[in-house]
Amino acid sequence: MASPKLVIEAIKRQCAGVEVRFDGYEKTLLTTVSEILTREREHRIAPTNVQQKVQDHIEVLGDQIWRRSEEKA
Amino acid sequence: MQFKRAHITNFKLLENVEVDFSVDRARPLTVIRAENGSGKTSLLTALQWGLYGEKALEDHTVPLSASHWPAGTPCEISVELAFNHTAYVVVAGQEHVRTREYRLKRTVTEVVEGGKPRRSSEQISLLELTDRGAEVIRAPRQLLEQILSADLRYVFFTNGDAAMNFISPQLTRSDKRSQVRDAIKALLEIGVIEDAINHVRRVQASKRKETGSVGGDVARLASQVEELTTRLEELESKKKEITDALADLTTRHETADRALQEALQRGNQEELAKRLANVKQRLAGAQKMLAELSHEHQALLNSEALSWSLMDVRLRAGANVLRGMHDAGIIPKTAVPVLRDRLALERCICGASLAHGTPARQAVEEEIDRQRASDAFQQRLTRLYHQAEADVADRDVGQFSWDSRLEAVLINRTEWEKVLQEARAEEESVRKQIEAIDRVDIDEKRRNRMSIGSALSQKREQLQQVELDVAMVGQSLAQVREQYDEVRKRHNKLRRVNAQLTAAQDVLSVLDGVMDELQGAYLERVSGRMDELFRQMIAADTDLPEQMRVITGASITPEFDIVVHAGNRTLNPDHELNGASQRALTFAFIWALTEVSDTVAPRVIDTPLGMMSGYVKRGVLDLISSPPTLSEPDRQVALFLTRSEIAQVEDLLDQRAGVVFTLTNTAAGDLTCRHESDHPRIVRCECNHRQYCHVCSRLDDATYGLISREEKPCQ
Repeated sequence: MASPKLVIEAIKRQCAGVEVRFDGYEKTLLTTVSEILTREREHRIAPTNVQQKVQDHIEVLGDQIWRRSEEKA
Repeated sequence: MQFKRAHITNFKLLENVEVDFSVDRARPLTVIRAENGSGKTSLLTALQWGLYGEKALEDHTVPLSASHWPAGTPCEISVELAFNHTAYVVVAGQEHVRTREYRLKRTVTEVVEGGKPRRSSEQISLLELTDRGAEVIRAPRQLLEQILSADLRYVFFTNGDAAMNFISPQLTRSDKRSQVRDAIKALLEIGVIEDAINHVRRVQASKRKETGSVGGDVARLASQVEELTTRLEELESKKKEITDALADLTTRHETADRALQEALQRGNQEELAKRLANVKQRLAGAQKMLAELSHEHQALLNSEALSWSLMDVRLRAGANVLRGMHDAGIIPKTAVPVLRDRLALERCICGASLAHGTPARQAVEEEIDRQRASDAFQQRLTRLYHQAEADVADRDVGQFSWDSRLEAVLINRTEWEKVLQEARAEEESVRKQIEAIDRVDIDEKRRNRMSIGSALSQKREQLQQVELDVAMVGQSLAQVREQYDEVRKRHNKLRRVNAQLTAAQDVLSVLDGVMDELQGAYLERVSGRMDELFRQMIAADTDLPEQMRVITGASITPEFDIVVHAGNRTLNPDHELNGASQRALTFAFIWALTEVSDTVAPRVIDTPLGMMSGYVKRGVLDLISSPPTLSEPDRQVALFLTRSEIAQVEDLLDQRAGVVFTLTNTAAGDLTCRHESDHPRIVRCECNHRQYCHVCSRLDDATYGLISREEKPCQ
């Protein structure tokens, strides 16, 4: 288990390079990726339905992208 | 994570032992002094068992209770641990840092019968100490696993004697690579990220299917992307298998080649046959010379010259007598012929008549008879005289110098005998070398190497092919993805699903980027830091010019091999490093890994300085006990050291150790004072690394210059 700080720093750097879909997208993406990794860590300790949880996080992020783009239109 | 203290009950001989840990940032080292058999390994195991339970035990069939515990009697074993942990979490895009205090207790009851333990289920309780009091943690195992994963226990809890998992010659090359890769993966959470990537890809695939349910180009392209993605994953997996197989074959080929070279070096048959023929010739020549000299020697012993050599004086004296007789006219005798002539002439020299019947003739005839009687003797003397004259003349010109001839023969015989012995010895040696060559063995080794070489070539070709396939499929995938994205944009019905697909792609791109960073950049950082630490530990002659240094550094290759550099050469740490340097390399790797990963957890090492002395011992201790800099997180190191490990580094421990105490086995044979107890146990005293007391005093304490901490004598 790396210092979460180390992984978080790496995630931040990568998020900074992604296309901005809406205002605050970078922070939202950082939170989504961090949450996904937390679910993965939990799954390693005790089995969970991690696939569904990952999908849920992605759908939530995707829905935000969709709503913001509809608002713009 | 930072340990504060532990309490161990009935774990082996640790009957009732309290252990403190230094939490002083400036003096982060805890030293537990203990000789062999004084509980070091038991303590190391107990701490791990406290955190991880049965998973931490190497052998579940070994009892945890002490051997003196009565068979069939339940023994309650427990480890209590007080520790802190600092957690980093991200909430709404903000990082939060919080330090929490915990109390952990793990308990089990064990009964030993017939030498085999039966243990109850472990009871574990974990409390968080808050301002509101102690709060029970409902899922203690999960939290402990998150704080310090059991997969990493051998990184943070190290038995110095066994700290060689990464460079042990007992492991194959691919096993060692796996160890190194797994350690890096575990500490950098690469496994977690890999799982996340796989799960996000599945979400992506399912979203593509949703877009495909609309039909047309979208469905077709979605399907193609899916197929190509699956194909690429299969090829990557195959590539990894081939790479691992290639590594093993390379090692086997090197081994086979080495075996063949060794067999060939034992002897070149043709050359040896030539040498044998040559030495046989010399042998025959020496034997012939010796035979000739032997004849010459015999001849000398039979020769007249020997007589002269032995009787020179007497023979010369005899010759002188004969010469005297000759000079006196006694020899040779000439009177008889003259008298006969006179008788024939019947007239004496004096003129008297010597006719027949005369008295003068009768006197002359009587004289002739008398002379004839002594004539034979005279003749012999005359002959002897002549012979003696000739022999003496020959001896005087040196023809009969027997002594010098004998000396020459003896010298020659000695020299040729030496030549003969040397030739025989050489013949023996060459014959032995010829016997040592096992032609069959060489041919077999040659065939083996060829066979492995052939398999190696095939594997390389397979790898090239698979790499080509990966590149081609990757290219096709990129092209199809582009087309797919273009088509999706145009389709209105898919906007929501498209947005979710976009989210999946963004998340995937972030995770892939993090993975590349961790695997690439961090591996380089771990390698670089390991190199710095290793060179510092072994004081790799940094003051000497590059070409004078034996070891110039160490690194981890992209294939996860740990290698050591010596100038332009790469050394194999399994066989070309001494024991102290191997340990130093292992510590350097572990330290670099934990530093680069920023992991804050106690590093507990049992007997780290064994096999070390001098500057390597000092270098290793200096590095592993150094306090953190201002920008680094807190550090905690606990070392279990014997007296001999502590010797000559006491000053470093004075500076760095925040806590020092001693553990002693009450049944140790070399204690100065007897302990009153009906069974052996481990006891603690507050003696530091420079002290002794009635509890821990040993017979050889004077050797280490220890001073008494108290005035109480032994009882």
